[in-house]
Amino acid sequence: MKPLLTIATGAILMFAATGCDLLESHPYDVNISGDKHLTSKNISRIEKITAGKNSIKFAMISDTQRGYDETREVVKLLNRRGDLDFVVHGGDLTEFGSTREYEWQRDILEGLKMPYVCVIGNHDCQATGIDAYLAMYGPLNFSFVAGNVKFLCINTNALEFDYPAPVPDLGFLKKELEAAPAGAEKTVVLMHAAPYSEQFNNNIAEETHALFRRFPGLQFCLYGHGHNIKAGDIFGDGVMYYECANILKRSYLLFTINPDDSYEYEVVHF
Amino acid sequence: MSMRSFISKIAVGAAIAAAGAPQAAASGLIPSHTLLQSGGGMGIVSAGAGWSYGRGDKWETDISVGIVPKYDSNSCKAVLALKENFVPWNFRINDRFSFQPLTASLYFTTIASSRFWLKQPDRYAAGYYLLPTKIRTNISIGERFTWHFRGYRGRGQSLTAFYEFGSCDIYVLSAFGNSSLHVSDILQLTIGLRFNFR
Repeated sequence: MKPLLTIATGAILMFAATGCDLLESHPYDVNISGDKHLTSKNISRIEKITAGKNSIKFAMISDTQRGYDETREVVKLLNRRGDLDFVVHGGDLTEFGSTREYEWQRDILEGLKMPYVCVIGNHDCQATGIDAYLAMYGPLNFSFVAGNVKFLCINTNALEFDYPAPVPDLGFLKKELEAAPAGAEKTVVLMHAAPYSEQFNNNIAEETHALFRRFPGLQFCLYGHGHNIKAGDIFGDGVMYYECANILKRSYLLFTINPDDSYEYEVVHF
Repeated sequence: MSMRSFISKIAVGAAIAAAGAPQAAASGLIPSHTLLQSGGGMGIVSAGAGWSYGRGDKWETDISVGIVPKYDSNSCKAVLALKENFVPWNFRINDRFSFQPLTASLYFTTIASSRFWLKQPDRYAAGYYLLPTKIRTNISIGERFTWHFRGYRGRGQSLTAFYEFGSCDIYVLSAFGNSSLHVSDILQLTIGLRFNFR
Protein backbone atom coordinates (compact mmCIF):
# COMPACT_ATOMS: atom_id res chain seq x y z
CA MET A 1 0.00 0.00 0.00
CA LYS A 2 2.84 2.36 0.92
CA PRO A 3 4.35 2.43 -2.59
CA LEU A 4 0.96 3.21 -4.07
CA LEU A 5 0.53 6.10 -1.60
CA THR A 6 3.97 7.41 -2.53
CA ILE A 7 3.19 7.22 -6.22
CA ALA A 8 -0.11 9.05 -5.67
CA THR A 9 1.57 11.76 -3.56
CA GLY A 10 4.30 12.16 -6.13
CA ALA A 11 1.80 12.40 -8.95
CA ILE A 12 -0.16 15.09 -7.08
CA LEU A 13 3.03 17.08 -6.41
CA MET A 14 3.98 16.72 -10.05
CA PHE A 15 0.67 18.09 -11.26
CA ALA A 16 0.93 20.95 -8.72
CA ALA A 17 4.37 21.81 -10.06
CA THR A 18 3.18 22.00 -13.66
CA GLY A 19 2.33 25.67 -13.10
CA CYS A 20 6.08 26.28 -13.27
CA ASP A 21 7.21 27.66 -16.66
CA LEU A 22 10.34 25.52 -16.62
CA LEU A 23 8.17 22.42 -16.80
CA GLU A 24 7.57 22.97 -20.49
CA SER A 25 5.35 20.52 -22.31
CA HIS A 26 6.91 21.37 -25.69
CA PRO A 27 8.73 24.32 -27.32
CA TYR A 28 5.72 24.71 -29.65
CA ASP A 29 3.09 24.43 -26.89
CA VAL A 30 1.83 28.07 -27.21
CA ASN A 31 1.66 28.28 -23.41
CA ILE A 32 2.26 32.02 -23.33
CA SER A 33 3.09 33.64 -20.02
CA GLY A 34 2.86 37.40 -19.67
CA ASP A 35 1.21 39.99 -21.88
CA LYS A 36 -1.04 39.03 -24.78
CA HIS A 37 -3.28 40.83 -27.33
CA LEU A 38 -0.57 43.44 -27.81
CA THR A 39 -1.67 44.81 -31.20
CA SER A 40 -4.98 46.22 -29.96
CA LYS A 41 -3.34 47.58 -26.79
CA ASN A 42 -0.58 49.31 -28.75
CA ILE A 43 -2.95 50.64 -31.43
CA SER A 44 -5.01 52.35 -28.70
CA ARG A 45 -1.82 53.99 -27.43
CA ILE A 46 -0.70 55.07 -30.93
CA GLU A 47 -4.09 56.55 -31.77
CA LYS A 48 -4.13 58.45 -28.47
CA ILE A 49 -0.56 59.76 -28.81
CA THR A 50 -1.03 60.92 -32.41
CA ALA A 51 -4.62 62.21 -32.18
CA GLY A 52 -4.99 65.54 -33.99
CA LYS A 53 -1.39 65.49 -35.30
CA ASN A 54 -0.73 66.24 -38.97
CA SER A 55 2.91 65.16 -38.79
CA ILE A 56 4.14 61.86 -37.39
CA LYS A 57 7.55 60.33 -36.89
CA PHE A 58 8.16 56.61 -36.56
CA ALA A 59 10.97 54.07 -36.80
CA MET A 60 10.94 50.67 -38.49
CA ILE A 61 12.87 47.60 -37.39
CA SER A 62 12.53 44.14 -38.88
CA ASP A 63 13.67 40.53 -38.86
CA THR A 64 14.89 40.58 -35.27
CA GLN A 65 15.05 36.76 -35.20
CA ARG A 66 18.05 35.46 -33.26
CA GLY A 67 19.29 39.04 -32.83
CA TYR A 68 18.43 39.36 -29.16
CA ASP A 69 21.48 41.49 -28.28
CA GLU A 70 20.96 43.82 -31.26
CA THR A 71 17.22 44.13 -30.60
CA ARG A 72 17.94 45.07 -27.00
CA GLU A 73 20.42 47.66 -28.27
CA VAL A 74 18.03 49.20 -30.80
CA VAL A 75 15.29 49.46 -28.15
CA LYS A 76 17.69 51.51 -25.99
CA LEU A 77 18.65 53.73 -28.96
CA LEU A 78 15.05 54.34 -30.01
CA ASN A 79 14.08 55.19 -26.42
CA ARG A 80 16.98 57.62 -26.18
CA ARG A 81 15.85 59.55 -29.30
CA GLY A 82 12.75 60.95 -27.62
CA ASP A 83 11.24 62.11 -30.94
CA LEU A 84 9.33 59.02 -32.06
CA ASP A 85 5.57 58.55 -31.92
CA PHE A 86 5.79 54.78 -32.36
CA VAL A 87 7.75 51.89 -33.89
CA VAL A 88 6.73 49.37 -36.55
CA HIS A 89 8.25 45.90 -36.87
CA GLY A 90 8.35 44.17 -40.26
CA GLY A 91 7.98 40.61 -38.96
CA ASP A 92 10.19 37.58 -38.28
CA LEU A 93 10.35 38.04 -34.55
CA THR A 94 11.40 34.41 -34.33
CA GLU A 95 13.74 32.07 -36.19
CA PHE A 96 11.80 28.87 -35.45
CA GLY A 97 8.31 30.07 -34.45
CA SER A 98 8.61 28.61 -30.94
CA THR A 99 6.69 30.04 -28.02
CA ARG A 100 9.72 31.02 -25.95
CA GLU A 101 11.25 32.95 -28.88
CA TYR A 102 8.02 34.96 -29.09
CA GLU A 103 8.25 35.64 -25.35
CA TRP A 104 11.93 36.63 -25.48
CA GLN A 105 11.30 39.09 -28.31
CA ARG A 106 8.17 40.49 -26.68
CA ASP A 107 9.99 41.03 -23.39
CA ILE A 108 12.69 43.04 -25.20
CA LEU A 109 10.25 45.05 -27.35
CA GLU A 110 8.11 45.81 -24.31
CA GLY A 111 11.11 47.86 -23.18
CA LEU A 112 10.20 50.46 -25.83
CA LYS A 113 8.82 53.60 -24.21
CA MET A 114 6.65 54.19 -27.27
CA PRO A 115 4.02 51.74 -28.61
CA TYR A 116 4.88 49.32 -31.40
CA VAL A 117 3.07 47.09 -33.85
CA CYS A 118 4.41 44.02 -35.60
CA VAL A 119 3.27 42.14 -38.71
CA ILE A 120 3.77 38.39 -38.91
CA GLY A 121 6.84 37.08 -40.78
CA ASN A 122 7.25 33.75 -42.54
CA HIS A 123 9.55 32.38 -39.80
CA ASP A 124 6.89 33.30 -37.23
CA CYS A 125 4.45 30.98 -39.04
CA GLN A 126 6.38 27.73 -38.46
CA ALA A 127 4.57 24.91 -36.61
CA THR A 128 2.27 26.62 -34.04
CA GLY A 129 3.79 30.06 -34.62
CA ILE A 130 0.62 31.49 -36.16
CA ASP A 131 -1.33 30.52 -33.03
CA ALA A 132 1.32 32.18 -30.87
CA TYR A 133 1.17 35.36 -32.99
CA LEU A 134 -2.64 35.42 -32.86
CA ALA A 135 -2.61 35.08 -29.06
CA MET A 136 0.31 37.39 -28.33
CA TYR A 137 -0.34 40.10 -30.93
CA GLY A 138 -3.73 39.62 -32.58
CA PRO A 139 -5.19 39.40 -36.11
CA LEU A 140 -2.81 38.78 -39.03
CA ASN A 141 -4.29 41.74 -40.93
CA PHE A 142 -5.06 44.98 -39.11
CA SER A 143 -5.07 48.73 -39.54
CA PHE A 144 -4.82 51.83 -37.41
CA VAL A 145 -4.78 55.58 -37.85
CA ALA A 146 -1.84 57.61 -36.56
CA GLY A 147 -2.67 61.32 -36.82
CA ASN A 148 -3.96 61.64 -40.37
CA VAL A 149 -2.21 58.52 -41.69
CA LYS A 150 -3.85 55.13 -42.01
CA PHE A 151 -1.48 52.16 -41.61
CA LEU A 152 -2.46 48.96 -43.39
CA CYS A 153 -0.61 46.04 -41.81
CA ILE A 154 -1.02 42.86 -43.81
CA ASN A 155 0.12 39.27 -43.87
CA THR A 156 1.92 38.53 -47.16
CA ASN A 157 3.50 35.14 -46.29
CA ALA A 158 1.46 33.17 -48.81
CA LEU A 159 3.95 30.29 -48.93
CA GLU A 160 3.18 29.50 -45.27
CA PHE A 161 -0.56 29.04 -45.82
CA ASP A 162 -2.62 26.44 -47.66
CA TYR A 163 -3.89 27.63 -51.02
CA PRO A 164 -7.51 28.43 -50.02
CA ALA A 165 -6.31 30.93 -47.37
CA PRO A 166 -6.39 34.40 -48.95
CA VAL A 167 -2.86 35.75 -48.50
CA PRO A 168 -2.69 38.67 -49.01
CA ASP A 169 -6.33 39.07 -48.06
CA LEU A 170 -7.83 41.27 -50.79
CA GLY A 171 -11.21 41.00 -49.02
CA PHE A 172 -9.68 42.65 -45.97
CA LEU A 173 -8.23 45.44 -48.12
CA LYS A 174 -11.59 46.03 -49.85
CA LYS A 175 -13.40 46.23 -46.51
CA GLU A 176 -10.80 48.69 -45.28
CA LEU A 177 -11.38 50.77 -48.41
CA GLU A 178 -15.12 50.87 -47.81
CA ALA A 179 -14.75 51.74 -44.13
CA ALA A 180 -12.34 54.62 -44.66
CA PRO A 181 -12.06 56.35 -41.27
CA ALA A 182 -12.62 60.11 -41.14
CA GLY A 183 -9.40 62.09 -41.04
CA ALA A 184 -7.22 59.42 -42.65
CA GLU A 185 -5.93 61.47 -45.57
CA LYS A 186 -2.79 59.43 -46.17
CA THR A 187 -1.90 55.73 -46.22
CA VAL A 188 1.18 53.63 -45.45
CA VAL A 189 1.34 49.87 -46.04
CA LEU A 190 3.39 47.51 -43.83
CA MET A 191 4.08 43.89 -44.79
CA HIS A 192 6.77 41.26 -44.26
CA ALA A 193 7.47 39.94 -47.75
CA ALA A 194 7.30 42.31 -50.73
CA PRO A 195 5.53 41.58 -54.02
CA TYR A 196 7.61 39.32 -56.29
CA SER A 197 9.49 37.78 -53.35
CA GLU A 198 9.23 33.97 -53.14
CA GLN A 199 6.77 34.29 -50.22
CA PHE A 200 4.28 36.54 -52.01
CA ASN A 201 1.29 35.24 -53.99
CA ASN A 202 2.68 36.71 -57.19
CA ASN A 203 -0.35 35.72 -59.20
CA ILE A 204 -2.07 38.71 -57.58
CA ALA A 205 0.92 41.00 -56.98
CA GLU A 206 -0.35 43.66 -59.40
CA GLU A 207 -3.92 43.43 -58.14
CA THR A 208 -2.73 43.82 -54.56
CA HIS A 209 -0.64 46.85 -55.47
CA ALA A 210 -3.56 48.32 -57.44
CA LEU A 211 -5.69 48.01 -54.28
CA PHE A 212 -3.02 49.78 -52.21
CA ARG A 213 -3.13 52.63 -54.72
CA ARG A 214 -6.87 53.09 -54.24
CA PHE A 215 -6.29 54.15 -50.63
CA PRO A 216 -6.16 57.91 -50.09
CA GLY A 217 -2.73 59.56 -50.34
CA LEU A 218 -0.64 56.37 -50.53
CA GLN A 219 2.79 57.46 -49.27
CA PHE A 220 4.90 54.30 -49.55
CA CYS A 221 5.02 50.59 -48.67
CA LEU A 222 7.30 49.05 -46.03
CA TYR A 223 8.59 45.51 -45.83
CA GLY A 224 11.34 43.31 -44.37
CA HIS A 225 12.23 39.69 -45.20
CA GLY A 226 15.11 40.48 -47.61
CA HIS A 227 17.58 41.30 -44.80
CA ASN A 228 18.94 44.33 -46.69
CA ILE A 229 18.31 48.03 -47.11
CA LYS A 230 16.56 48.70 -50.39
CA ALA A 231 14.37 51.39 -51.86
CA GLY A 232 12.61 50.75 -55.14
CA ASP A 233 9.66 51.66 -57.31
CA ILE A 234 8.72 47.99 -57.78
CA PHE A 235 5.76 48.59 -60.12
CA GLY A 236 7.26 51.59 -61.97
CA ASP A 237 4.38 53.89 -61.00
CA GLY A 238 6.09 56.14 -58.47
CA VAL A 239 5.01 54.21 -55.33
CA MET A 240 8.13 53.47 -53.31
CA TYR A 241 8.73 50.20 -51.48
CA TYR A 242 11.30 50.46 -48.66
CA GLU A 243 13.02 47.33 -47.35
CA CYS A 244 14.25 47.33 -43.76
CA ALA A 245 17.33 45.18 -43.06
CA ASN A 246 17.41 42.47 -40.41
CA ILE A 247 18.53 43.66 -37.00
CA LEU A 248 21.84 41.75 -37.21
CA LYS A 249 22.86 44.31 -39.87
CA ARG A 250 22.48 46.96 -37.15
CA SER A 251 20.24 49.53 -38.80
CA TYR A 252 16.72 50.90 -38.59
CA LEU A 253 14.61 53.13 -40.82
CA LEU A 254 13.23 56.49 -39.79
CA PHE A 255 10.22 58.16 -41.39
CA THR A 256 8.65 61.58 -40.88
CA ILE A 257 5.37 62.23 -42.61
CA ASN A 258 5.10 65.99 -42.98
CA PRO A 259 1.94 68.12 -42.89
CA ASP A 260 2.26 68.84 -46.62
CA ASP A 261 2.44 66.04 -49.17
CA SER A 262 6.07 65.14 -48.39
CA TYR A 263 7.88 62.69 -46.17
CA GLU A 264 11.44 62.09 -45.04
CA TYR A 265 13.20 58.73 -45.14
CA GLU A 266 16.46 58.01 -43.37
CA VAL A 267 18.54 54.90 -42.70
CA VAL A 268 20.18 54.95 -39.26
CA HIS A 269 23.14 52.63 -38.65
CA PHE A 270 24.21 51.78 -35.12
CA MET B 1 24.64 -1.67 -29.09
CA SER B 2 24.03 -0.92 -32.74
CA MET B 3 21.15 1.32 -33.76
CA ARG B 4 19.49 -1.64 -35.44
CA SER B 5 19.57 -3.88 -32.38
CA PHE B 6 18.57 -0.95 -30.22
CA ILE B 7 15.46 -0.29 -32.32
CA SER B 8 14.61 -3.97 -32.63
CA LYS B 9 14.94 -4.37 -28.85
CA ILE B 10 12.47 -1.55 -28.30
CA ALA B 11 10.06 -2.88 -30.91
CA VAL B 12 10.18 -6.47 -29.70
CA GLY B 13 10.08 -5.41 -26.05
CA ALA B 14 7.07 -3.20 -26.58
CA ALA B 15 5.25 -5.91 -28.51
CA ILE B 16 5.93 -8.57 -25.89
CA ALA B 17 5.10 -6.25 -23.00
CA ALA B 18 1.83 -5.41 -24.71
CA ALA B 19 1.02 -9.07 -25.30
CA GLY B 20 2.04 -9.98 -21.76
CA ALA B 21 3.75 -13.16 -22.91
CA PRO B 22 4.97 -15.08 -19.84
CA GLN B 23 8.18 -16.22 -21.48
CA ALA B 24 9.15 -12.59 -21.99
CA ALA B 25 10.42 -12.33 -18.40
CA ALA B 26 13.10 -14.81 -19.18
CA SER B 27 14.10 -13.11 -22.41
CA GLY B 28 14.80 -9.80 -20.65
CA LEU B 29 12.83 -7.93 -23.26
CA ILE B 30 10.09 -6.70 -21.00
CA PRO B 31 10.71 -3.16 -19.68
CA SER B 32 12.73 -2.87 -16.48
CA HIS B 33 10.85 0.24 -15.38
CA THR B 34 7.83 2.42 -16.07
CA LEU B 35 7.76 6.16 -15.58
CA LEU B 36 5.49 9.15 -15.14
CA GLN B 37 6.99 12.57 -15.71
CA SER B 38 6.28 16.21 -16.44
CA GLY B 39 8.07 18.77 -18.62
CA GLY B 40 11.31 18.51 -20.54
CA GLY B 41 9.45 19.13 -23.81
CA MET B 42 7.95 15.61 -23.48
CA GLY B 43 4.45 16.71 -22.47
CA ILE B 44 2.91 18.32 -19.44
CA VAL B 45 2.34 14.75 -18.29
CA SER B 46 3.95 11.79 -19.99
CA ALA B 47 4.02 8.09 -19.26
CA GLY B 48 6.40 5.53 -20.59
CA ALA B 49 8.59 2.51 -20.06
CA GLY B 50 12.25 1.74 -20.38
CA TRP B 51 15.03 -0.79 -20.31
CA SER B 52 18.21 -0.77 -18.24
CA TYR B 53 21.20 -2.62 -19.62
CA GLY B 54 24.94 -2.72 -19.76
CA ARG B 55 27.42 -3.28 -16.94
CA GLY B 56 25.80 -2.18 -13.66
CA ASP B 57 22.68 -1.13 -15.60
CA LYS B 58 24.36 2.15 -16.42
CA TRP B 59 22.56 2.58 -19.73
CA GLU B 60 18.84 3.01 -20.20
CA THR B 61 16.47 3.53 -23.10
CA ASP B 62 13.05 5.05 -22.39
CA ILE B 63 10.05 5.63 -24.59
CA SER B 64 7.15 7.81 -23.50
CA VAL B 65 3.96 9.39 -24.73
CA GLY B 66 2.94 12.77 -23.40
CA ILE B 67 0.18 15.31 -23.64
CA VAL B 68 0.69 18.87 -24.84
CA PRO B 69 -2.38 20.82 -23.70
CA LYS B 70 -4.18 23.10 -26.15
CA TYR B 71 -3.20 26.34 -24.40
CA ASP B 72 -3.52 29.07 -27.08
CA SER B 73 -3.05 26.69 -30.03
CA ASN B 74 -5.77 25.07 -32.11
CA SER B 75 -5.64 21.63 -30.48
CA CYS B 76 -4.24 19.37 -27.81
CA LYS B 77 -1.30 17.33 -29.13
CA ALA B 78 0.52 14.08 -28.38
CA VAL B 79 4.30 14.06 -28.09
CA LEU B 80 6.47 10.94 -28.31
CA ALA B 81 9.93 10.78 -26.81
CA LEU B 82 12.83 8.36 -27.30
CA LYS B 83 15.42 8.87 -24.59
CA GLU B 84 18.85 7.42 -23.85
CA ASN B 85 20.15 7.84 -20.28
CA PHE B 86 23.60 7.26 -18.82
CA VAL B 87 23.69 6.69 -15.04
CA PRO B 88 27.35 6.29 -14.07
CA TRP B 89 27.09 6.06 -10.28
CA ASN B 90 24.80 4.48 -7.75
CA PHE B 91 25.39 5.14 -4.03
CA ARG B 92 23.71 3.33 -1.17
CA ILE B 93 22.52 5.74 1.53
CA ASN B 94 21.07 3.10 3.88
CA ASP B 95 19.12 -0.13 3.56
CA ARG B 96 16.08 1.67 2.13
CA PHE B 97 17.49 4.50 0.03
CA SER B 98 20.05 5.02 -2.69
CA PHE B 99 21.22 8.06 -4.62
CA GLN B 100 22.21 8.43 -8.26
CA PRO B 101 24.12 11.75 -8.34
CA LEU B 102 24.23 12.14 -12.11
CA THR B 103 22.12 11.20 -15.07
CA ALA B 104 23.04 12.40 -18.53
CA SER B 105 20.46 12.08 -21.30
CA LEU B 106 20.04 12.62 -24.99
CA TYR B 107 16.52 12.44 -26.35
CA PHE B 108 14.36 13.15 -29.35
CA THR B 109 10.74 14.19 -29.33
CA THR B 110 8.19 14.28 -32.09
CA ILE B 111 4.72 15.76 -32.28
CA ALA B 112 1.86 13.88 -33.88
CA SER B 113 0.37 16.64 -36.02
CA SER B 114 0.15 17.42 -39.73
CA ARG B 115 1.22 21.01 -39.03
CA PHE B 116 4.75 19.82 -38.29
CA TRP B 117 7.13 18.54 -40.94
CA LEU B 118 10.13 16.25 -40.86
CA LYS B 119 11.25 16.78 -44.45
CA GLN B 120 10.92 20.36 -45.63
CA PRO B 121 7.93 20.55 -48.01
CA ASP B 122 8.83 20.82 -51.71
CA ARG B 123 7.50 24.37 -52.03
CA TYR B 124 10.54 25.66 -50.13
CA ALA B 125 14.00 26.06 -51.64
CA ALA B 126 16.62 23.71 -50.16
CA GLY B 127 17.73 24.88 -46.71
CA TYR B 128 14.96 27.52 -46.47
CA TYR B 129 14.40 26.64 -42.82
CA LEU B 130 17.13 25.50 -40.48
CA LEU B 131 15.43 22.75 -38.47
CA PRO B 132 12.52 20.38 -39.03
CA THR B 133 9.59 21.41 -36.83
CA LYS B 134 8.61 17.80 -36.13
CA ILE B 135 11.76 16.56 -34.36
CA ARG B 136 13.35 18.23 -31.35
CA THR B 137 16.74 17.14 -30.05
CA ASN B 138 17.27 17.57 -26.32
CA ILE B 139 19.99 17.04 -23.77
CA SER B 140 19.64 17.00 -20.00
CA ILE B 141 21.43 16.19 -16.77
CA GLY B 142 19.83 15.31 -13.46
CA GLU B 143 19.78 13.34 -10.22
CA ARG B 144 17.74 10.54 -8.75
CA PHE B 145 16.71 9.24 -5.33
CA THR B 146 15.53 5.66 -5.05
CA TRP B 147 13.45 4.01 -2.33
CA HIS B 148 13.92 0.24 -2.10
CA PHE B 149 10.75 -1.28 -0.64
CA ARG B 150 12.39 -4.55 0.37
CA GLY B 151 15.74 -3.18 1.28
CA TYR B 152 18.75 -2.27 -0.82
CA ARG B 153 20.07 -5.33 -2.50
CA GLY B 154 20.96 -3.82 -5.81
CA ARG B 155 17.90 -5.53 -7.27
CA GLY B 156 14.26 -5.73 -6.28
CA GLN B 157 11.31 -3.41 -6.70
CA SER B 158 11.96 0.24 -6.03
CA LEU B 159 10.60 3.72 -6.67
CA THR B 160 12.76 6.52 -8.03
CA ALA B 161 12.08 10.25 -7.92
CA PHE B 162 14.12 12.31 -10.37
CA TYR B 163 14.65 15.70 -11.83
CA GLU B 164 16.57 16.84 -14.88
CA PHE B 165 17.58 20.20 -16.30
CA GLY B 166 18.14 20.40 -20.03
CA SER B 167 17.56 22.30 -23.21
CA CYS B 168 16.69 21.71 -26.84
CA ASP B 169 18.19 22.52 -30.24
CA ILE B 170 15.97 25.60 -30.81
CA TYR B 171 16.98 27.22 -27.53
CA VAL B 172 20.69 26.44 -27.80
CA LEU B 173 20.82 27.87 -31.34
CA SER B 174 18.88 30.95 -30.18
CA ALA B 175 21.28 31.60 -27.32
CA PHE B 176 24.33 31.13 -29.54
CA GLY B 177 25.97 34.54 -30.04
CA ASN B 178 23.48 36.32 -27.78
CA SER B 179 24.91 37.34 -24.43
CA SER B 180 21.51 38.71 -23.38
CA LEU B 181 19.99 35.22 -23.35
CA HIS B 182 21.11 33.45 -20.20
CA VAL B 183 21.33 29.78 -19.32
CA SER B 184 18.24 30.21 -17.13
CA ASP B 185 16.30 31.41 -20.21
CA ILE B 186 16.93 28.25 -22.19
CA LEU B 187 16.45 25.65 -19.44
CA GLN B 188 13.73 23.05 -19.36
CA LEU B 189 12.94 21.10 -16.21
CA THR B 190 11.71 17.52 -16.05
CA ILE B 191 10.44 15.95 -12.83
CA GLY B 192 9.18 12.45 -12.54
CA LEU B 193 8.77 9.12 -10.83
CA ARG B 194 9.71 5.70 -12.04
CA PHE B 195 8.80 2.30 -10.78
CA ASN B 196 11.63 -0.19 -11.14
CA PHE B 197 10.64 -3.85 -11.50
CA ARG B 198 14.06 -5.20 -10.71
